[in-house]
Amino acid sequence: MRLKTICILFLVPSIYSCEISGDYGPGKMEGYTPIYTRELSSLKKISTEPARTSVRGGKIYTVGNLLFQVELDSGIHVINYTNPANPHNLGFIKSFLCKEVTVKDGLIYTNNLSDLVVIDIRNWSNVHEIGRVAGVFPDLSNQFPERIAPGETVYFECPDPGKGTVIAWKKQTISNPKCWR
Amino acid sequence: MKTLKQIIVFFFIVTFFFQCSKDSTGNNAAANPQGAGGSTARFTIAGNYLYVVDHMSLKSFDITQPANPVYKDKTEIGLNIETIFPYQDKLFIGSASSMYIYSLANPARPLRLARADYTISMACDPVVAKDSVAYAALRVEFTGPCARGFGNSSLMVYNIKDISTPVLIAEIGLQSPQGLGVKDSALYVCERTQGMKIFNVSSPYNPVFKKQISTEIFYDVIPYGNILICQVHGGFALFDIGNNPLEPVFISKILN
Repeated sequence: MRLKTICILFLVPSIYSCEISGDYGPGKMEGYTPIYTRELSSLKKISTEPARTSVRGGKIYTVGNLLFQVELDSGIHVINYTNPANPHNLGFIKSFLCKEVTVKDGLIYTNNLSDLVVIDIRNWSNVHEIGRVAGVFPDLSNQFPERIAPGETVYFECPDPGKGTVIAWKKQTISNPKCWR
Repeated sequence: MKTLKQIIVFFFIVTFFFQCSKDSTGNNAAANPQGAGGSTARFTIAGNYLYVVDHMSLKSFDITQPANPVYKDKTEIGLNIETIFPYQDKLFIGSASSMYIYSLANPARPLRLARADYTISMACDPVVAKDSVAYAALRVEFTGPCARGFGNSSLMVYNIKDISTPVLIAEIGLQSPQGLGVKDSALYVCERTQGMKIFNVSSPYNPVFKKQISTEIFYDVIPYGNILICQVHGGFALFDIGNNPLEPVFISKILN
């Protein structure tokens, strides 16, 4: 019953990403199970790190000669392209579950889990969060295991919000998964 | 030591604030104090408001005091909302089945001006606009998150002279479109593994295929001054579009 409810919750934001398979669903198979945490304080910390290479480069935004690129689910690369022939990666701003980025007046507006956060980057040696509105983007905190290939179907154990926040997915044999995408 | 730190801090301040004045190379910044996002974004800023689309609704936040953003309103739009693109005092919103246009006359509470339903239902589809034309790129897939419809992937061209009544003028076949962008007479359509297609839109309602750049997997673009910023697989790539927007010249890329 509970799983069903969770699946329905997933159905709402993303109608086709999760379906209830019922008793006639697939049996044992290779799939993913969520790894949970209840330690949210570290996940809610906005901080800077040295420049890193992009692995899952996401959406882009530009203003002036700065380019911002989301690193899917983990933060934002900040790149100075004053010299377009030699763009210079300034550093990385960590924001767990980051998926979107927009910038105005030296302030980044992005998501951190399901919260809206405003990050002041006007002084790179003191990048810090200046504003937050909690819980306004529930769909941005949804997490799914990554597809290996585009269009591939991946099966996974439906996340149970009661167990905490999903921080990663573990590949293993699962039985009758109720969620897939 | 302290002096060194001060120098570093000063360097970054200079980098962040004064690069905008360095425009002698015909570069971007001075002409573009405004930022720009890609066509596939779900966040956008217009005036003192941040607008965000989720799968069904449009939310507005007053960011007049950035340290204290105020959640103002939520407007239900429809199902499978995917993208938001600001143009002039309007928001163009792409969903799986329709293009929506919202007025920002009351910025806290955007008002729907138009809804144009696609002949192809259920695709993935960003929208961009320029003057009195709107371009939507619809991707139909057989598998994956866009595998919900029928028909073929297409570029839809709308006349939006009468903003409340978009008129479909042309439908051009595409392969696997994602983001798109327009500058002057050039329309850039990212076709993912098929590369990026460039259309001549000097006649805006009649895009003419000009060329294809297949060096990367292209997801989205931002034409920004003289630079075309491309979100490509693994990072980004920059092209020069200052001389001829129809002939982007590769400059550099940062990939993983």
